[in-house]
Amino acid sequence: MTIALRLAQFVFLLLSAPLLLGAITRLKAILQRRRGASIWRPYAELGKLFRKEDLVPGSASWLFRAAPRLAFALTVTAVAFLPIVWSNGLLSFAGDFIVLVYLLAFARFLMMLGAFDGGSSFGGMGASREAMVSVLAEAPLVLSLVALAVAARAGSLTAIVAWTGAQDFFNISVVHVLAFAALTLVAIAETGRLPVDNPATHLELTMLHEAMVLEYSGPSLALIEWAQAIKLNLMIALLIALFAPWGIASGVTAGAILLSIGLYVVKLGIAIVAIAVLESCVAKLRMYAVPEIFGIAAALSILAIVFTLMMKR
Amino acid sequence: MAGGISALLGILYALSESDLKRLLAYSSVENLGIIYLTIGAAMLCQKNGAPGFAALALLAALVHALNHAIFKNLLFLGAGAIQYKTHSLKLNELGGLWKTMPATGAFFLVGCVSIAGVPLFNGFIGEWMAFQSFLAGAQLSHPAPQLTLALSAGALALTGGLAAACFVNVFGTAFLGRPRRMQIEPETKMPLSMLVPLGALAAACLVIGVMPMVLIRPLWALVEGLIPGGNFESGAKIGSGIQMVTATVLIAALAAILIRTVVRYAPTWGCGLASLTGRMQYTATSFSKPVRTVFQPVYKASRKLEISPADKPYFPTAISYESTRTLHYEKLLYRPIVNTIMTIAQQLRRLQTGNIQWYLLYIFLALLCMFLFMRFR
Amino acid sequence: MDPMPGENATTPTVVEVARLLQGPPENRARLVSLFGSIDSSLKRTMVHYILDVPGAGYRVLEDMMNGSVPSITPVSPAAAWYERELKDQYGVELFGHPDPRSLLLHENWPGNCHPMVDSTQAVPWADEHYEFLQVEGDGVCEVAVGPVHAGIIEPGHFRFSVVGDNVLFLELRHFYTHKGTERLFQGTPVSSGQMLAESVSGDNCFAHAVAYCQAIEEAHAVTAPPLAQLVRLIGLELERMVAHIADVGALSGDIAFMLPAAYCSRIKEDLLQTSVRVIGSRFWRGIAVPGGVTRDISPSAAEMLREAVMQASGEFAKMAAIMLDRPSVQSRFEAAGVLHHSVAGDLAVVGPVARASGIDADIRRDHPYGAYRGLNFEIPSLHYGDVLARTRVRIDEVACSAQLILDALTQLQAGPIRTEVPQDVAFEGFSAIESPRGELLYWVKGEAGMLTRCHIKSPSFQNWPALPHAVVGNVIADFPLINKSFNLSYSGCDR
Repeated sequence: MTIALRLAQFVFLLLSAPLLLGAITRLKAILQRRRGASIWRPYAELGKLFRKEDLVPGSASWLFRAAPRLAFALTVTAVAFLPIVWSNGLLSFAGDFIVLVYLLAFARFLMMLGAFDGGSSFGGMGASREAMVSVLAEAPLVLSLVALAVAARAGSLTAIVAWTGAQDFFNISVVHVLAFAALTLVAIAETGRLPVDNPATHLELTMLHEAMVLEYSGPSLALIEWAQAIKLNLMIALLIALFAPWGIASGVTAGAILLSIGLYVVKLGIAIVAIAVLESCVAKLRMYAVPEIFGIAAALSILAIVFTLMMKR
Repeated sequence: MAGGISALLGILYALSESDLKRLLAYSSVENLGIIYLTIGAAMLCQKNGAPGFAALALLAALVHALNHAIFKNLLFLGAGAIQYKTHSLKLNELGGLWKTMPATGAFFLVGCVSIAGVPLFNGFIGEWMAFQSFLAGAQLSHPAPQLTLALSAGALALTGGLAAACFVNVFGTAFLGRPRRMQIEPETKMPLSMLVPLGALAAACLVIGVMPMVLIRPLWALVEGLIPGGNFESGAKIGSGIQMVTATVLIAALAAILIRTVVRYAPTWGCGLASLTGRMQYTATSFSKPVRTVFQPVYKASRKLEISPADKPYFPTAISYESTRTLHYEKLLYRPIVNTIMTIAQQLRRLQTGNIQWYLLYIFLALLCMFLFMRFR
Repeated sequence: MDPMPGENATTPTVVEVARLLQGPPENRARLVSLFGSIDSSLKRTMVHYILDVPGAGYRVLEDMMNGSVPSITPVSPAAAWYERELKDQYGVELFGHPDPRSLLLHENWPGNCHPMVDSTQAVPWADEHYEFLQVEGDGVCEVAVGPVHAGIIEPGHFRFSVVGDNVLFLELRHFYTHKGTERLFQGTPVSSGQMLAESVSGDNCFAHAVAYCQAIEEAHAVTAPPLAQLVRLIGLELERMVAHIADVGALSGDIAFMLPAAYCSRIKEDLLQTSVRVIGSRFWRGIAVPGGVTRDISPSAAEMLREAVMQASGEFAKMAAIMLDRPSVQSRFEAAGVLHHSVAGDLAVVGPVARASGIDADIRRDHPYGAYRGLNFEIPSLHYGDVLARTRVRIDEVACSAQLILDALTQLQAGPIRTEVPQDVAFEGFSAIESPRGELLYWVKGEAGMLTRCHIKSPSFQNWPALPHAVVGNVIADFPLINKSFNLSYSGCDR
């Protein structure tokens, strides 16, 4: 029974990812007084791309097509660690959050190679910018997770979530506030959202992620876009699980699970509104202003660690 | 601490390097830094009464040292193969090599992925164990070592990110895309004696990456002798965790690959231009530019753009660009180390006699030295 | 002093032109245009120089070509593209030109076929050679962007030489939309030339039509009735408002700040729809004709327009203030793509781009025409030369244009809207107006109601060569923004 629940939440995270994108886009359109596209549009786009043919540059190697597929698999695997409505992730072991971070790093590594294999300047350009972001994102990401792990004296995500869930809602520690701020900044940058990257742009010279995948088309592009949506879903789910796990089900009763699902949807809704509002009132950062975000995130996460250690004493 | 700084500076220099052999040498500095960082963590844990974590850290150091020996040899041999084929190790001149040397390319890729420290390859195992030992912070009694350990995690993460970027650059510019300005010797075939050791080392990377217990179990015996009181539990979980991850990745990848696709080959998109030249590809220097800009203070680069004729700024007939770095840290810290490694690499290349037994002997000797070195530390 | 290299290369006219173009920036003349024509009576090719001499207004100098033309580019870099165009169109040799590569004609066009003198029927596909400048240095690579872009943008090729994201050098290769418009004008009746003019640059079509009509009127020494001139002023200023509002919105869109972008599109659309109700055309097509205009603005339409313009300028001002107040917008706009005053002067840049780089020039005030004569209004000008300055100049000009429209609407009085343009005479003349992108000049020549030559000096042709100087030294990621802040027309440049 529990394994079914763990599997169900894993599959839910994968399948709901495009819907999340659609909801954010629609909400942003409404904020701009436009009607906006249907929230189901990302599914239609994926379906369209899956039906199209896969264009491969003549100079490319097999890696060009393997990269998005493997990267997709790695991103999917990273999702398996997350508890969202049921308190156990599909996979869970000591140090799993490090594996999560590095699975995403591996996915990006492959996509950067795929960009090089395309053989155009745009791919290299996008990859080099992505490299800058990923190089700088990893340290604050790991540091803030370490801060939480140390605070919870736990080695796995599931254990951290369980510990946080056992705390009093009103007794939230400064560690959580700091780590939350740091992780949010990293999540924005990692998922290529504003103000770091513009997911809707068509200008090949300004893009980060989109320039990197410029050579891709058809099913390969569909997997890349889906993986990108999953990554956004993953980051939001991670933030919710780590900082607002209250209500997550741990007993196998229909009531508890339904409550947990309801609460999760509410939390997710708040996240969607927050993203849409934020993205509507800022401009994209200058490229070399992006590292400053990571500087702030790193500082916040180091502070979180310092407070964790002080709290223990 | 020194280990952490050394690791960071080493990889930063490696990233800015466009000569493959020097790049690999700098990366060795980085990896030695990681090993020292981890050994430092082991000593901290031991001193502050956390033998379990101390053992884990030392184990991590040993695992990483061995892994490093494997993938770094793989990469150096690969670099030798590139030079054999193209007479160049300048990344800004190479490109599209995978088409001409498919097997070497595949093995070299394994080396690059391993050194980048990502899961499913051996480079990750040591780093992962190191991360776990850094979590010991909470169990130590003094704040200073606690903080040091936690920050070490940050340093290791940053180093890992930089290493990944660095080796994406190496493989991407040398093997992928289209040729830039190099000359390929079409007649020279890679001799089997060059490929077999590469293949063996690449296989080792993969096997250890997916089944780390092969390496961890014998090394654990070593560590147990050095630090009594550690328990093997945390180490033992590594293997099962990795295998679960591997299985999930494989299932998902299989699903992704099985999606029906119609493949069509087409020229690279050139914005409507008829043909793209080799110049229209990102170079290694260009790739590392954003990261180098972020870490500018480390490099203290000076750039010079010369436009001629100087009296006609609107109608240049020639422009040249030059960027030079004043490497303060390098002269003091690394020149000796890098030079040593370079010399060893030179020797290594000379040792490429083409005799397979010799290669196996070298590898065996290298491993033996490693073990002995660890035993009598 | 002989500024021309080469033997026997100078002529008295060229010496005079060079003399006027030299000197300290505040005293030297500005090169307005340079073009060729064929004098049918003399059977000779002529070169025309139009200069804007300080204190003396426009001055036209002519010279006869003797197979080759001494280049004035070494004296004034602003002449570079004009002379290359001259070479492509008429097949003349240039003496002392530092960059004599072909400009209009691409590799597929045979180099020995010059469209203004040779037949363009059944031209064979050629394989000519064009060399881009290669920047030497380890690790320098090229990014080739265009002619086909990812968005809905006109075609143009940009060749960046970069190290990472830093742009070391940028070369343009345009004229993918070269349609041979100047050649098409030859043999077009005067009475339908404005239709061709309207199609030169889509978003400035009324400015082109008015400039053409004014040139015809100038050449025939007639003036349009005052009411027609007022209607033209309203149309020109409305076009300027629409163009600038769209530009500011697009600039906001380029930095992914979508809220002002969406609002600006809406305001622009409101104005276009009002245009339909007021004059019957979104872009005022078919309104301007030689001798006047085809439609009057009725009092009720004037009231409708007044309300629409007031509302649009009010809403736009509010949106622009919100936008420029954002630190995130400021950090993107400020110090990005600086075009230095001296470069802008050397390349004789015009329009909002010039006014953002400290060149206080506006044809409406400096060489008033039509209903602008006797008007006194403020010309916004800044000296920073960055994207922010170009944005602010546009924002201020919208307010200024709105005021001009509102003033003009109060002066509308019933009267004739068209005068006859005499037929059966030989004519030659020119007229310049301030289009939304800057100085736009039509030079016409013909006889018996037919054009034999029409030269278009478009502001984009003048300003494109300045763009690379604003881009070099920036990161390539900022290029679309800088390019947008210039907002030059490809079609208007290529013609």
